[in-house]
Amino acid sequence: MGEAKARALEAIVKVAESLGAERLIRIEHAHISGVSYGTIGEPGRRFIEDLYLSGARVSVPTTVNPIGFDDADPANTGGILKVDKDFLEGQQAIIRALTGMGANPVLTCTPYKTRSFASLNLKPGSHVAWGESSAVAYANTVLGIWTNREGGPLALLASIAGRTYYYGVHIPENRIPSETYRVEIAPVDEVDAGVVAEILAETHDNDRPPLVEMGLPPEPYRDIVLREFSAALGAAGNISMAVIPGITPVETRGMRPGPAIEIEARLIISRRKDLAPGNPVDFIFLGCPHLAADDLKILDHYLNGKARIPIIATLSRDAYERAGDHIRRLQAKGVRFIRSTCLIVGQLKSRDYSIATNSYKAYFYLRRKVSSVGLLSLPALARLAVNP
Amino acid sequence: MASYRLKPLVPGYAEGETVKVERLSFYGEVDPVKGELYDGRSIAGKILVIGRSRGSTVGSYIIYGLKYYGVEPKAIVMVKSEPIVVVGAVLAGIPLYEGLPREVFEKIRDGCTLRVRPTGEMELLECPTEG
Repeated sequence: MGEAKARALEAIVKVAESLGAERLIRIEHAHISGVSYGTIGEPGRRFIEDLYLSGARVSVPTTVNPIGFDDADPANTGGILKVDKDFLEGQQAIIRALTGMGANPVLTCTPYKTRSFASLNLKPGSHVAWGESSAVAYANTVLGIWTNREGGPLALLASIAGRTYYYGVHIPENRIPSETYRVEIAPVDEVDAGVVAEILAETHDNDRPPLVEMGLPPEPYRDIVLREFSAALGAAGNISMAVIPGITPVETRGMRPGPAIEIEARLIISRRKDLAPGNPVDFIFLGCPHLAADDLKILDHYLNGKARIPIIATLSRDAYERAGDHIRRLQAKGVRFIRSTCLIVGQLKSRDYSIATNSYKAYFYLRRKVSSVGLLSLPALARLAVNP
Repeated sequence: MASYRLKPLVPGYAEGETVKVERLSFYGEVDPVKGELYDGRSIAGKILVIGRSRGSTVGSYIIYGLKYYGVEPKAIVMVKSEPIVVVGAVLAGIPLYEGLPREVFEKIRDGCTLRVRPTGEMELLECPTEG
């Protein structure tokens, strides 16, 4: 074993000991968060570069989260991001180190939507080590792929070691729901789902997952709702998994803990009202988590006219390449696409923006950075864009 | 003076003034360069008392960054911790304790003096009188 790998293992063992984990387990994939120079800065850059320079290499297939700008065209800022020289240099150093170690720079928070991930053909029950809290909740809840909410540096160390600590939702008993929650609104849209996640983050105080009985819309909209729900769970709280009957690939029959706790319609409706945009909107933000290729079809469908409020849409290079026709049509309607980054990990040009979005997670992180953030569903945002 | 038994996740001796926050996402709610919370309170050289953590997996890097810029808390004391915080504290070498009883958490305010020992013993030495 190389010296760098031994050091990565040593760090993981230290974390395992702190947590009281008895052993490590092998992982089949890693996803590394904390790679934007804007979020981790010089200390994070040095941490990653030092690993690379010490000879560390990934030992399992590894994907990478979004960075601070459009890597295919750093000048493509959508008119709202800023990229100065130091930022560009720091960010490129991080990417050089990660790719040098063998990680695949898909640069997206939805690695599970990329072609390279699909080609791995991971089965439900696979153990992985993922950073990116939205992807973690989606992996456990929707894909049935098992991962804790790994801190950014731990996900990187795990990819080098090929192992993580046996703890949390890697242990089958810890995936059995402890409480049932019944959502009174059906079907929920993605904003309802964000509010439900916020309520769960406050209410659910157990290491085991909540079982959430929540009526969902049909596909393809359903997956948008599930991604926004997962992202909100990871932002508003520290829940790494929910069990949704009919969605989560586990046998839920006979393990519904009762009686159900009601999440009442009036509670959701009133919180939604609080979160709706109150000010004139400067721009609409879509793509937190990143838009998938299928989402562009849906957006194209709802956006029936030229957007008079600019729409900023962030997505992976992979989705951008796959949705070519929709991309061109949407660009003609006034949508500005930015690849490989998002408004959470990129640097905003101004603090004065008033933004509307369908993402609770974006609301959670942007509310302290800009003057206002309001939440509406995708169809409502499309209507607002055309008829402000 | 009251004494309690906590679980040392990253053991280390520390004594200092408390800064308390109910729920915290290190990423987005802590500035690692200034060592300040989102509301402007400084955590540099303080004992950071947290109910529960939340949010981004980038949090570990923020804790590491606090140490890098020399504005780290002397220790972090939590009702309930999670791996994101543990990883940051391990890499930064910041003492981390969990298992603070809820009712003691409720009692603690900013500006209390608190001491933790590697064994997990925590003493709440004094608190400013209210008002």
